[in-house]
Amino acid sequence: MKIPLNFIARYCLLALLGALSVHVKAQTQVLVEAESFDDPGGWVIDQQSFPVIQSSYLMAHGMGRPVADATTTVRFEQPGTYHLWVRTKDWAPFPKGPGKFQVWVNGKPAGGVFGESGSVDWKWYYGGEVKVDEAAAEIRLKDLTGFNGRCDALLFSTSGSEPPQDSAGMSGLRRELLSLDQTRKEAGHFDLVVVGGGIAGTCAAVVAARLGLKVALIQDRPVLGGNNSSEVRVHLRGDIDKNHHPKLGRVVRELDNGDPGNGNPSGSDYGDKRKLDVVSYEKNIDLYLNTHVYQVEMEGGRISAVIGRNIKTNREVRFTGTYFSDCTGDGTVGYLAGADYRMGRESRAETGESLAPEKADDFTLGTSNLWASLPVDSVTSFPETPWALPFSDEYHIDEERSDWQWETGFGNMNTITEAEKIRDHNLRAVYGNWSYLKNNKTEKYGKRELAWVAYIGGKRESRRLLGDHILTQMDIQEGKMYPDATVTATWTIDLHFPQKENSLYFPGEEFFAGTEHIRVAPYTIPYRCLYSRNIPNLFMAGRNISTTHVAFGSTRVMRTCGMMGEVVGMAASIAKAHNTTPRGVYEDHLDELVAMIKD
Amino acid sequence: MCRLVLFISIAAAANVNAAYARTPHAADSLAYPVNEYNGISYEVRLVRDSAGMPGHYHARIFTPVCDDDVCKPVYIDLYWDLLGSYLRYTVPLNESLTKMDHEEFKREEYAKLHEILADSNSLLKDYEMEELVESATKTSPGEVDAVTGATAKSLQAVVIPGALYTCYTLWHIAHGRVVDTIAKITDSLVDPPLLLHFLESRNHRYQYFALDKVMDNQGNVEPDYREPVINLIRSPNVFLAAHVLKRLSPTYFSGEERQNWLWETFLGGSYRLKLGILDKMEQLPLTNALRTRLATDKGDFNEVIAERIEHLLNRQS
Ligand SMILES: Cc1cc2nc3c(=O)[nH]c(=O)nc-3n(C[C@H](O)[C@H](O)[C@H](O)COP(=O)(O)OP(=O)(O)OC[C@H]3O[C@@H](n4cnc5c(N)ncnc54)[C@H](O)[C@@H]3O)c2cc1C
Repeated sequence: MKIPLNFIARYCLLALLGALSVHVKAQTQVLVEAESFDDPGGWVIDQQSFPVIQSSYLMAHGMGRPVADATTTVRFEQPGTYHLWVRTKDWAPFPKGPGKFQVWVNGKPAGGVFGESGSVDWKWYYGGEVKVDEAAAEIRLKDLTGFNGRCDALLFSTSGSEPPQDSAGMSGLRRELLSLDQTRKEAGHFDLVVVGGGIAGTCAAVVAARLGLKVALIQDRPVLGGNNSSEVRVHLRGDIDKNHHPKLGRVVRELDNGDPGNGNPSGSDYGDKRKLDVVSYEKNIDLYLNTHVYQVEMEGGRISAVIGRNIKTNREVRFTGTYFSDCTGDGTVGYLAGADYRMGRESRAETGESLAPEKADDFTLGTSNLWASLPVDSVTSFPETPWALPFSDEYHIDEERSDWQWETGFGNMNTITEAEKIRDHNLRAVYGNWSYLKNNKTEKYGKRELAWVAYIGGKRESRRLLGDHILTQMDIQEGKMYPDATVTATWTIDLHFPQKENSLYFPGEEFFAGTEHIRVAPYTIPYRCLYSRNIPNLFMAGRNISTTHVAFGSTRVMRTCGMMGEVVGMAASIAKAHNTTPRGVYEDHLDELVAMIKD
Repeated sequence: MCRLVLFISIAAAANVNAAYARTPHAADSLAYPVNEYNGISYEVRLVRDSAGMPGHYHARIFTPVCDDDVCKPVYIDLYWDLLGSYLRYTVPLNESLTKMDHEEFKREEYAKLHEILADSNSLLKDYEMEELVESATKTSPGEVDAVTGATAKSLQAVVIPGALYTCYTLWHIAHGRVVDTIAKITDSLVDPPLLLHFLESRNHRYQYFALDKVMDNQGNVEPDYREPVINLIRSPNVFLAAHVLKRLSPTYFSGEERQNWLWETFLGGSYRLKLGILDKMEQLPLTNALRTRLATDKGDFNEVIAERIEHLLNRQS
């Protein structure tokens, strides 16, 4: 048998590491998470790849202008010479990306330029030896381009061996060097733990709190609102004035900050502050912003606790609860708990839906990174972007601002495991097109500048958690009224697909969508779509409820999602009062729930 | 309304001749009649450039623009390229464009009209006049948004307020039957100088048009056009470049000089073109000179390219 050389080398290294592991403490290793820098400067914290790389990272999102340095002070127990490792990637290796940056230690660059290796995988790159003379060293991340260079962590090590490259090994290293287990805090026990602070989660928390429940609301961004926040900028849709149960929609209305359209250059129009104010006013809500839930604890088939990690400090918090509501959009809590779920499209044979495809597949609606430009006084320049998608006179998108059509990830990329790739593809489309417009259509675009490009992807579809009822196209089109009818939905069945012309020019790499609105009469969503069929204390609200892909095309708009949250808040209060499960509410206390919604 | 249109269109037809008598292009022999959808007819003429090469088409148009109650006359000069794409418009001296309230277009509205006409995919295309009026004037946001929100919103962008009918009528003339007429005329003009002119024009529509005439299904190109066609691989239009590269017969890339040229193109080309060139190389017997360069340069790009070059080199051995 022939074993390739590099395999032997790696294998020996691993064996060696294993043998040495008891001595690991003896050598000094200092792990510095980039997102935990004292001052991020102009860099932003990105947690969107947490499910894949088990960490947040810093990113230089400068829309083509280098951002201010991120700086921090690192304490060393021992002065001496350290090997520096930098965890980064080349996010656009076509063939080499623009995300270039330097790492400066005590005023001097260490190890050349990072972020242009031509390799898209997150890896440790060697930054050479650095001398640390004193107990503290100043570290600086110097962005060179403003084009989304990124850094996950720095490792200073007295040992010359390579740190673990894979994400499992990295998790272990992080856990140990950051003392994650030793520093974890208990948030306490809650009647309802809501994970995800989009419109759905926020409504669920507010209603439950007003009904007297002790609520934790956990959101992994600094703002509430999800896709309706200033970070994504999607406007609220779905009507609340056609409700079968007029009481629903009251909290949605409180959160509604007016209609700035999609991708408005004015972020404040989306009302982050309004949402935060509404939540802050509720003394029964413990709000945890910047906290990403990545682990659940189970007891007897139920969720007993969730663990979140702060996306900046990396400190962990544990929340125990009676009921949990998965409002993550991704169905993350359900997934971690082993809830039945579905992703992609069902086949027509399976659901009987005329709009379903012949065969089941992985197709999902895509993710958007909206953007907008604004006029400026004089002609400005924008760099050429050879690493981005190419455009020309023959094909480019002649727009000053985006709308919902800027969308990537139609089954060709997984919206959870490849969320970063999808976002980056969006950025390559936005920057490539903008560069074309700026450099070739100067008359129209010379005096315009990018005012805003989202770095948080607006996700439309991922997992759908399955409940006791799975809403279908027929439920919608036949307007079926089940006894547990709750939320009224009004949006069309709005299933996107790659726009034809875009497919022609970017086959398999589409970034622009089309849709066909299939009108519906107002219809109702049964309560049974709002709790898990196999995890007895799990509710869900928002785009990850129990529907088929086709039905999701209509239920997914945010006023509708918000009303689902309101119903979950009410149902949780009834469940608590009767010491029962979400299903118990349906089976034994439906009258009470319906009365509450009607009243 | 119909009767009114008919009446005015007769007047229009009568007037067209009078108008042409005043145009500088009246002498050109190639003038073709166009009978437009709304009953008007006019003549479209070929205009040659100073070298005598076909340059563009022009027509002076006189059309009524009508709403439910009244019609008003509109005079306008329209210009098309040699394949019938709208180029620009001008308004004859002493004429102006007005809105329904008889107010003259503002400066920016003249500019906007050009933008509207330049969009061959305009939403105006799919609308009947009646639908258009309904959608563009309906303002209740709740209602419209729930069903045709996107459409109503975008419609506001494709018309000039108060000049809906003008925009609609002129768009449908600029993108109307004249397009077929022009295609026929240009087809009758095709000769080697025109094809060469097209290939070298930097106008992708002309270039695709010429390519269709000079390249067969196997990617063979008649000798006279070979060089200009191969050169399109270095066009700044990456889509055209990749298209030509893909279609061209591999036989043109067997010599050392041409393979060197291909590698130089690879070095300077966009990522898409780079991948296209590697695809092409899979169809070629590689010369030793190229193999050496591939081996030397292969690590300079990214993992994907390194692997593909590796594959190329191994395949050959
Ligand atoms: C570009 C675009 C255009 C759209 N157009 C419209 C429109 O016009 N009108 C409309 O109403 N809808 C529209 N939609 C759909 C709509 O935005 C979504 O369906 C909707 O956001 C779903 O709301 P949600 O609360 O379920 O999820 P989200 O808005 O996705 O909110 C979920 C929140 O949970 C957080 N989260 C996720 N995982 C975790 C975790 N593990 N721990 C803690 N927090 C977590 C996320 O950061 C996010 O903020 C559009 C969507 C996009 C992307």
